[in-house]
Amino acid sequence: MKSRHHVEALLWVVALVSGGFVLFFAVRGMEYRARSSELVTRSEAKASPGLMQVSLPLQSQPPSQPQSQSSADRNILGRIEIPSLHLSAAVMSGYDATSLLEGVGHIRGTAMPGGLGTVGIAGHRDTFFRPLRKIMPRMQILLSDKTGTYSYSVDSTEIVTPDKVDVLNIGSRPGLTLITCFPFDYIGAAPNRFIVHAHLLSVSPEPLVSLSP
Amino acid sequence: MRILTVAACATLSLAITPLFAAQQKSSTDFTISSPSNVPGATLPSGSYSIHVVNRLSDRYIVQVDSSDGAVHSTFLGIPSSKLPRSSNSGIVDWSNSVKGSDYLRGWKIAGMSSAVEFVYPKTEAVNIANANQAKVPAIDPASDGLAADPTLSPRDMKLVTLWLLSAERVGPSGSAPSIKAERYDEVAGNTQKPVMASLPHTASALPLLWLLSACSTFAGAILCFFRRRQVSTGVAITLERNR
Repeated sequence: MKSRHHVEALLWVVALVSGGFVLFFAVRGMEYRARSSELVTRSEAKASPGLMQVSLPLQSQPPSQPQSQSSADRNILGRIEIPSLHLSAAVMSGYDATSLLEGVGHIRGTAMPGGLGTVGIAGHRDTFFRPLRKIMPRMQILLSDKTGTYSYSVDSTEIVTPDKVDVLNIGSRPGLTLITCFPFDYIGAAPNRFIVHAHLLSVSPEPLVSLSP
Repeated sequence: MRILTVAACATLSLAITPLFAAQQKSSTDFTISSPSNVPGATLPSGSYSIHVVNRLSDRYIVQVDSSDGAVHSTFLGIPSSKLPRSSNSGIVDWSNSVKGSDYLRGWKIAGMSSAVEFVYPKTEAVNIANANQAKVPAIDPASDGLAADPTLSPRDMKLVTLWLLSAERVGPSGSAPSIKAERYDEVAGNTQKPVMASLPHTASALPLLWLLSACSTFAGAILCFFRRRQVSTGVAITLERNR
């Protein structure tokens, strides 16, 4: 009887701890997504004074937790959006385990958003990049950073083994490569990678209107 | 006959080598009356000399020196046969200035049919392409994982990827301005170094944790239900006995 009580208590503790952990990172992911949007809006407003009207409400907000916010902002490189898949996430400056729980990760050594080269971005197949299962050619991908919002158009998808790093090579035009594990519903370490290839439509950034709040 | 051919080749090569060396080291003096931009630097009005420091398969490394002989700036250029007519010095300007600043486009080397077109950093190249509606050679060192502080090192100048930017009109009415980028592929000799050894592993533990949490809650709830049922049964039995 007593041991059954212990088991029950242990189960509740496990449920609370693991549930709390999941909830914490779910909320944090949402917070980083909102913060990336704010960061991009602020930067674009600074770059083009004509957009000040859009950014004023954000700038007039009192800064809450300035220290933690600035450290988080340093880790946020920008934001990725695929409007037709309702995918929106913060792009973190690295792809370590913590960064990938907070957003998707930029692969160091690849181009920056809108850059002349191939931008490499990795994300979890079971969180932020789960909607990539439904991606189709010609879908629009918006990549924003402090320099502006850049539009990419999806060319193709492929499934490769993890050693096929040439998916990040620079092509004949500036591109974007999204990487996530495959199969999407695999339990444990998935053996393959799902790759999305897209190309940059214009090297000059687009106006702020393309960003959703 | 064979000896004669070898001797002719040797004589020809001896004659040509100094000619190429002279062409590579030949510098041109030029004077600008107003401040003008070259890639990564602004030249105040004055006299300068320009020469090719190094000639690679698809690019030149160009150096501009002040009149006192000090190095002013070093940057990249590409061979070009499409430069318009130039002044006597051989320096060609971009016809339209960008936000009031003049930019130098290239240099026609004296005695040579081809010319050198200057390669600008991405942001400057975008502005020049917009202002002049022309193809502008560009680099983006940050996207190649290279640091330009303020100019690239000679080693990085050999590695950085070259691009051509051109202004285009897109959209249904052709009203939206856009900058198209194509890789400059005159010589595709640069072999790319992979940025990583293997593609990242991207499966998080969150779904498993969520499953663990759900299963634990379910199991805990079942145990709780049976415990309460047992207690209530026990209470009922006790009440029955007391009656």
